[in-house]
Amino acid sequence: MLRATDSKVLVVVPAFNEADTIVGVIAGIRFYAPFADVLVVDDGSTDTTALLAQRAGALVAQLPFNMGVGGAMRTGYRHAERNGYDAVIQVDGDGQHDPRCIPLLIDSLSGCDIVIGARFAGEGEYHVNGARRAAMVVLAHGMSRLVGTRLDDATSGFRATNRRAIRVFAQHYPVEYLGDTLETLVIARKSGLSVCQVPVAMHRRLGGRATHHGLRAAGDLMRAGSVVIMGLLRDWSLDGGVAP
Amino acid sequence: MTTGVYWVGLAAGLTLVLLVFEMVRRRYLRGRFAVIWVVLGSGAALVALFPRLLETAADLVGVKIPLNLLLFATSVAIAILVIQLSAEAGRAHAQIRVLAEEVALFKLRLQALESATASVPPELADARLSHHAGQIDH
Repeated sequence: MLRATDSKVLVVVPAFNEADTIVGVIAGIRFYAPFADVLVVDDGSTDTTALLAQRAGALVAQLPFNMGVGGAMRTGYRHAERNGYDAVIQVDGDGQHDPRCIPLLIDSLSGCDIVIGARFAGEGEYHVNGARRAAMVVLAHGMSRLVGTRLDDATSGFRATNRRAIRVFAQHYPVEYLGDTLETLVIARKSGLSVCQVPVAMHRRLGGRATHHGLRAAGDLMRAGSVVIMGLLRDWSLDGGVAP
Repeated sequence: MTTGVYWVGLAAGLTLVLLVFEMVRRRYLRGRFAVIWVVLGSGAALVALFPRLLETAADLVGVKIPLNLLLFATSVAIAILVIQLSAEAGRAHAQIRVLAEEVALFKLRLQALESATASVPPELADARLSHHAGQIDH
């Protein structure tokens, strides 16, 4: 059972040039999840993100060059595995994820290996228009059938993972566009991990470019398709087998 | 045009696609390259199965011998691939340089730290690291 005081929780915040928002993000996490450690993974930022994050009280891992969200996240998962964390929460550095929902995500981990905070499952006023929205709905339906659980938001980067999932993602975390959200779900399914969804509210961006932005265009549905197919074809076994 | 050529083309195309699937399975291939090779392999197999396609295309473009069009298209595809690979290699090299520099500077900081705290003898740690570095093939 995962909650507060007993469990060791790590919040991983991938950040690429988020000097505008990172301080607010860390403050929010520390306020709503004071029991958790915060690791900002600076993905080769050229601004003062790392320095600001460190001053705000977070641990900062600085990648020597930009690797994409997947590279930053795997770094965070490796840190989590090596330091024996019970849970990892993924929170974007751009302020889109509401830290108030972190305790909810952690609580939901008692039934699942991976909990996804979904934007369209009823809460929040996250607006996406026309064709993009339709494409995202199609994508969500497809991913739901693939993963075996109802998913309303397949490209959400707001997630919680338990020890079993940490072990998998410390080895396998795709880097390409949509790989970090869609292919990870495929990896989860192929590794026998269970996936759940909880509704969360999300904000409009506070500044700069979004880390996770659903589909950039309706045509991205094809890219999504190829990423998923790639994930299904690939061998995701671990160097030691997944823990029972 | 003997039909033998088309059977070879078909076999080659299918073999290529199967090879690509296995490389994807072992995670050797990045997504974009897998897609490119599957398209090329399928294209070759398709042309082998339906030679009329190639003949029609050759007429449209104004090439007398259909096979020439295929060979030309293949050359162009390979040239593009080579350019892409060169770019990837260049980028990877730039990253390796950065990593090498960071490692060197880390060793410097570590040595300073170890001297200050008088912990693990620096010579032992460095010897193992350079032993592994020497085993990289060029």
